[in-house]
Amino acid sequence: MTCAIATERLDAYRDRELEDDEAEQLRRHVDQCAECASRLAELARQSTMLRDALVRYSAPDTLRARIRSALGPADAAPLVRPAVPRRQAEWMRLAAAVLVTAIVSGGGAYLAARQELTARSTTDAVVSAHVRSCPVT
Amino acid sequence: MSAVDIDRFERIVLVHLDSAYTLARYLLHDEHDAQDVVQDAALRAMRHFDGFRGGDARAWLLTIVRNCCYSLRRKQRGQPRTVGLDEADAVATADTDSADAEVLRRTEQALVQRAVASLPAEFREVIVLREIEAMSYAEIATVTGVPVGTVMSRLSRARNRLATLLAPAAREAS
Repeated sequence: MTCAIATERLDAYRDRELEDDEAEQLRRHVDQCAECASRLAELARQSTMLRDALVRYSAPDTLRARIRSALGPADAAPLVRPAVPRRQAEWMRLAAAVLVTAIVSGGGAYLAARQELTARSTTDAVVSAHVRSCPVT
Repeated sequence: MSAVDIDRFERIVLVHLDSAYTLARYLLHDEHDAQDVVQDAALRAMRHFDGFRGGDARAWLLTIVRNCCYSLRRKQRGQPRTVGLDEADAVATADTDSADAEVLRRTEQALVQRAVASLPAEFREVIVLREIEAMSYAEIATVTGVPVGTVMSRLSRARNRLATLLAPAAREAS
């Protein structure tokens, strides 16, 4: 391996990104080449310096709160809507339909009866008035 | 989004919020902008969470954060820069005249931070993703949207540039 190729691959070697056989070739070259060994040592030194100096920030609590609030209230709605078995759901739909039918038809019958009652009482009143107005013979 | 989905989203995606915030801080150099961008990115991630098919959630979130950072930078381009000294400058100017070892160490850290901050964004991001996040080249390629070979060459060029920037300090230290 030439120094030019080794130099190109030193970063990847340092970052353990080379395939095993490539890494082995490079390691052999570095063992025999003081210049490439020095470059590799410099890369390691720089990496240590960077890791020592660069800050890994923590997301501030205010940011977390803002995101949490935008996602939705923590205690919003039920966590899990209880699953209703299909058969039970069909029964519930049928029961609801029967109930609605009963209410509608019951209401209709009531109205019809009430109308008939009203009509009958009106007829009775007219007949009574007529009877009262007729002279007694 | 149901409470169950929110819980899942928090467990899978929001655990990487520190990584997201760190990347945004280094790309934008401003804590308020970084917070706004990370919030925006988190909400975008939530809206598209249905489309997330598993895999590397950190890389997925950081990809969105990076895109949001670049969008903000494009919007801000041409506007006067109102950001003051960042923490690197603050540390660098604080105690440089003291001979205390801790201060010297902090000064060196500040120099490194300033050198990283001066890198072009495409170099800075690969340094942050590699050295702070310890991401593989493949993961960095996912986040930055470039081939692995490009990641490799950007890292190499970024490190060369850092070596040049830090050479005077390194000579002083030795």
